[in-house]
Amino acid sequence: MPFKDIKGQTRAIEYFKRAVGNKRLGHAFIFTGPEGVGKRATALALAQALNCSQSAEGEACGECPACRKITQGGHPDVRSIEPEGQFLKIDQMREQLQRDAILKPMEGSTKLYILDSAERLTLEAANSLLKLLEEPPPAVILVLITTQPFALLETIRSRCQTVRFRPLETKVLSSWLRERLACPADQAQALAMQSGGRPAKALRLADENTQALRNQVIGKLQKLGPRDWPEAAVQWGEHRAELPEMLAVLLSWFRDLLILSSRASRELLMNSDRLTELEGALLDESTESLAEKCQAVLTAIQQMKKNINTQLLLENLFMRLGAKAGRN
Amino acid sequence: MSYIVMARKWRPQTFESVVGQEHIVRTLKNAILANRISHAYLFTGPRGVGKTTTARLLAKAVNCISPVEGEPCNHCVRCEEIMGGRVTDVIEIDAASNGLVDDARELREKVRYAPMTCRYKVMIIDEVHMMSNAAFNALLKTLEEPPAHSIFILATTESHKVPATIVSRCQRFDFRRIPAKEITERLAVMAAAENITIDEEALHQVARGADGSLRDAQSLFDQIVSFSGSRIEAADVVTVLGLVDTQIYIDLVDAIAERDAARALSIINRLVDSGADLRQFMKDWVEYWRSLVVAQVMPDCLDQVLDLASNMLEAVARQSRLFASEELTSLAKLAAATDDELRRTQNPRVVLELLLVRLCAAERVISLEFLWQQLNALETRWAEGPDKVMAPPPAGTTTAAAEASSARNRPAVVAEEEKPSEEGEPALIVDSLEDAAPDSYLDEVRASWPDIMKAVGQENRVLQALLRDVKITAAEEGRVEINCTSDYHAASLQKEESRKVIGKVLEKVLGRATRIHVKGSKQVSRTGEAEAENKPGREKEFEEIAQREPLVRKTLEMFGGRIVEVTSNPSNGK
Repeated sequence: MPFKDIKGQTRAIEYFKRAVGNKRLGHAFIFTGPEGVGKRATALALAQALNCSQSAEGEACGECPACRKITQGGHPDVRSIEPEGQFLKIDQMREQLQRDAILKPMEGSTKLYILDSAERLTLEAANSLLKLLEEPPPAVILVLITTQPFALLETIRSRCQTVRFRPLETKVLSSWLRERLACPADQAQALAMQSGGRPAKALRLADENTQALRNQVIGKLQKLGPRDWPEAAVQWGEHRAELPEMLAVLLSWFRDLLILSSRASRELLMNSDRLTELEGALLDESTESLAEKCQAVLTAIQQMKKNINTQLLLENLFMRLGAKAGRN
Repeated sequence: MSYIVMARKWRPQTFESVVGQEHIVRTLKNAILANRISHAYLFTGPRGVGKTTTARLLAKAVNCISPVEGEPCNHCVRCEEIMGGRVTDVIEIDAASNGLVDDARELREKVRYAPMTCRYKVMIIDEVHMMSNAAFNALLKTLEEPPAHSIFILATTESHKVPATIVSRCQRFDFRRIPAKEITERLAVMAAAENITIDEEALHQVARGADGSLRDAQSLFDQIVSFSGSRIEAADVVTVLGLVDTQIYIDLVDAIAERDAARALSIINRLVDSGADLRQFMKDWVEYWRSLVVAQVMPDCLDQVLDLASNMLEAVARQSRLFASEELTSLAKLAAATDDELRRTQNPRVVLELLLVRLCAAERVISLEFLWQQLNALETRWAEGPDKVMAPPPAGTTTAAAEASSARNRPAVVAEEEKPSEEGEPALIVDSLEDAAPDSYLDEVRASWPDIMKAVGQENRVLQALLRDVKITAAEEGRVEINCTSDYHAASLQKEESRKVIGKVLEKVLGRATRIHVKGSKQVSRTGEAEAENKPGREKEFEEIAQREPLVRKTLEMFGGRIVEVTSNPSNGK
């Protein structure tokens, strides 16, 4: 798929079009940005622009055999290297990359290597890339794709041009969602805010089950009296599988209360479709205690990633969340 | 077609053009001139500061047929061969890919043979930190006593991973990070040679983003040039690098100084919508806080200590005056701690928002210095006469309960020295009684009240404490009327023995027998405003300030107390 078919990443794409057009394209890139915003598609489009027989002004035709081969993943000069198991290993680098890169392109004019999930390079593998990234053979371009650029070695980052892929603007995403899901404006806005500008995530959130879960969580929050928190911890502990999503809803809830309590614009809310409930919950909370509760949820989410006793974690969290309510 | 990136194209070909490593270049040049070349070197330092470049230069310089003052000539056969990579005598090894013991053994074999064309056989082992332990050990003997024709140059970013036995056999050169100023100069030279116009601010931003590494700077520069062509402005740098417009740092700090959480949050919203990388933003913003701290400590030589463009310098200088020093450090600390958290979290946005709410809600710290200034100002005015001290009561001292409920309603920030006469100025209500008509005797009694207190204290300490909170409501020859805010205090003072002691003191101080009338509380004020009115100026001043402290206010509200005494404590400035 050529550049023109990629949605939303105008800045990155404009950059590549110009660089290809001016013949000033670097040889090593890091593509960073959240999941599902078009990093890989852009890398492939770049390969097309470089190898297309009829490309004009940095844009590929998308029709010629080279372009089609790249789209289908069958072009011999466009290689994608993906983690073998957990990691991208040094043997992969040696065999699939270094040995291959010294050969001239077979069909096209430029070889392009895509390293997917580059944050999973082992230390050895990453170091073995350094010389190649600095001075690759002619007509070789390397693209490292990652969601966590800071997890890469500094020495790697220093050798590459970092291209950022951005989440969509809330307005753009919410109007797109409204069209696509035919849902009311406030719900679209809430989904756009919750997904952090990622269309795929927004669609996942809009899914019936996820919405039901969210309603359930918010509904429960409404009913919780000061004494009910410990019991709620027990109940939540029974839904282990859905816990990450439930905690995410919890976080967005307290974060919204914090926003309201700070008298910031309502546009910033993630649960703007639940304004009345939010305002009701705000009544007896001070900004300080809300900030502490937000922090408690954040900490809990962080700890969930570690192998920790879920029940204890929840009890600890809910005790903190219920703290102020109990005193009043 | 292949384009050569600037970092490669501009790789220095003479020692002269190596940027920012004079200490190393000079040593090496002198070694070459004096023909005292060591057989093993270890080059360490951060990424992109010139290790590999210097290693290659050294290989060229020792083999050059007609070196000029230690520099390679770049024209002779050897130099050209080496630059073209056509020589078998200069071997560059990537230890990260070939760092096993077998590779080391092979290398050892190669070294044994004399060079074919060159004078020296130079082995450049790059990324040497990735060699295995066995490989390192296999090299030990060779590194210690290599054949006379060979030179080893080891280069790495992580010298701590090189065994001490290796380090001790090499001459070690530590490459330093390149100051932003030198990077800027170098970039300017490159830009001129490539026919690119770039404004100063843009250069600054690139140099700052490079964080001490010239290659980083060149990569960034390359990226910007391929985006914007031959005319580059600061805005382009911002666009391409996903940098945040520096104005945002300034706006955010202003919002914090004004405790305007709502504004700060909407700025963050704009930031997120613009697709900025929040982690990158935080890294830079922490740097800005650091600048503020530095500016506060050494305001006179800012341009020398901070690598900032001139408009930023102005902002830093202005904003560093918005905070007391204790406050600034605690805010900066809070920000720095969040930088750490942001790296790990999956919810960077919430973490950042939380930080801003906290920064805006942070307790206002008043520096001792500020207190001191206020005291001095007060004293001056006191000396000019009591009338001058009178001022309207502080505006906005509404009920404390309403205020504490929201951080937004905290007392507005007072910009210390800048506007001493505005709202933040503690107003003094020395005399706001109903019978405030000029009453010379009353004034006299009031003036001598501290003496009376002191004398009472000598007689009876408890009594002195009780008297501290009273208000003199009326005085005439032979009779002084005081008003107690607390009924309990009044009862104690009304006891016969108390009155006797006070009477005695009054007689001594005022020069005639005086009876004292004690009245109980009529208007009990929970916040202690009323009883503050009769305090000596200095104490009152303290109290006024203390009253505006959110923490104090909250304590009062929570326990229903009042301020009894405010003393200055040098350790925390309150």
